[in-house]
Amino acid sequence: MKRVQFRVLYREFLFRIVDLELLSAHAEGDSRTLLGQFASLLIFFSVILALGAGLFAANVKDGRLPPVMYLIGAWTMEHFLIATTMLAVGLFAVLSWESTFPDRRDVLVLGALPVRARTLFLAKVAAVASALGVTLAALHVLAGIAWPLALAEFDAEPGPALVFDAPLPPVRAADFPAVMNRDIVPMLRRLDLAAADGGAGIVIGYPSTG
Amino acid sequence: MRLELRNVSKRFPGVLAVDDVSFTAPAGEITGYLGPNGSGKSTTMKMIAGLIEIGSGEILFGGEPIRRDPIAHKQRMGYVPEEPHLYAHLSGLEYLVMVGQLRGLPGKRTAERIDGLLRLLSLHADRHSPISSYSKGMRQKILLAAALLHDPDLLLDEPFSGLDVSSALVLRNLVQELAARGKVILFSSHELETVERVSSRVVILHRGKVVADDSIAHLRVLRSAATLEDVFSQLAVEQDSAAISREIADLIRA
Repeated sequence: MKRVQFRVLYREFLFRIVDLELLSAHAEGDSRTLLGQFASLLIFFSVILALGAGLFAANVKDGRLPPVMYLIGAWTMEHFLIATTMLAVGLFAVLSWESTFPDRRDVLVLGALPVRARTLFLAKVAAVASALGVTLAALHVLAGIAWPLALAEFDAEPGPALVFDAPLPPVRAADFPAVMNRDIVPMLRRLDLAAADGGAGIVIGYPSTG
Repeated sequence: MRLELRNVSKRFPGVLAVDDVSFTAPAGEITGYLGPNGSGKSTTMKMIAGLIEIGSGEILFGGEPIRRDPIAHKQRMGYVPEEPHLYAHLSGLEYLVMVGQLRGLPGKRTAERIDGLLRLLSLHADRHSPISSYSKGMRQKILLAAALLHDPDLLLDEPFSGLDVSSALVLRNLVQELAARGKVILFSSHELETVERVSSRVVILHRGKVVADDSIAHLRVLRSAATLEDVFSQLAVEQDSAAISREIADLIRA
């Protein structure tokens, strides 16, 4: 029975996740209509972004812009998508914060029914999480596919990237001059800080008292 | 089977809303629960319904303290609150289906029962309309249907404001029929005539305390009163209503 109660409450809470009357006069408090409108808005935004991806891919194919512009465009778009996601999550968190906890109406409507507070709370949290997931999915439904495809067309010189560098093996003190001669001396010679036939040495000192 | 309150008290910050209330509501009888505004009547009803915690004392139903297993208690109880709190975006039918599911009632039988209740309560034609478009009386009928859906053993009833005459008559006969079938019914209303007609016993509350717990007939004899309203006026009304009415009329004329 708890599972049935969870399912029923989850469905109920999901369709009134935000205070719907505040957001749309046209929906007239009908949660399904408003959620449909909200999803349509996000999908429309996603379509606009996807069109941008199409233009980007076309430009890449034509080679109209210098490669560095493509690189900047790709980075900008990646950051824009990340920022948009964060904005959507933040906005959603603000709008749905009140919905996460049972309100007075829930207590008055459901309080006399044999529903455990835990079931009620879990259904609320699950509804908020699902709505957030649906929001992000709607936002990126097209742009999330179109942009990776568009960026795959782009084959410019790679920018700075983190690469693997093997760590240096430990060196014994006796071998240290040889390592310095190999790695440091050429640089010192380029800067005229070392003689052409000179080498590097090592001096080790330690202070002593008493 | 009976509902029993033993020395129940409830304190809100700065106010003792219910003060050491004890009474018994037996099965097969409609117990009227009366009191002026702020007497602690609704608070008691909410404690019995499990909407708020019991401050002190004990509430027993069928000999079992209700706080031992509140979920089992709520399975056996139907509550029609004074204020019609509902999910207004749902239709009447959707709301009743939701209540049936939350009560774990079997689908097909519940659907038939909902259909029957909606017909008998004259709500069938509006069953698909959102509750937000319902009148207060219609909302109360939905609450009544929701409270009766699972055939409860205990009915806490605070209705009748906003109902039309024919619906009020139906509901009055209904609570009597349910009592005759062995249900425990605690009936709270400000309409004393209605209470006098449906109840055999009344509990009168004043400033959180029980000031009368007896049969209506006995109370009338004791108080030398012609009606329950007269009894109520003697026990729970402190103001001189005629004098106040005159003062208000004078005030607005001045």
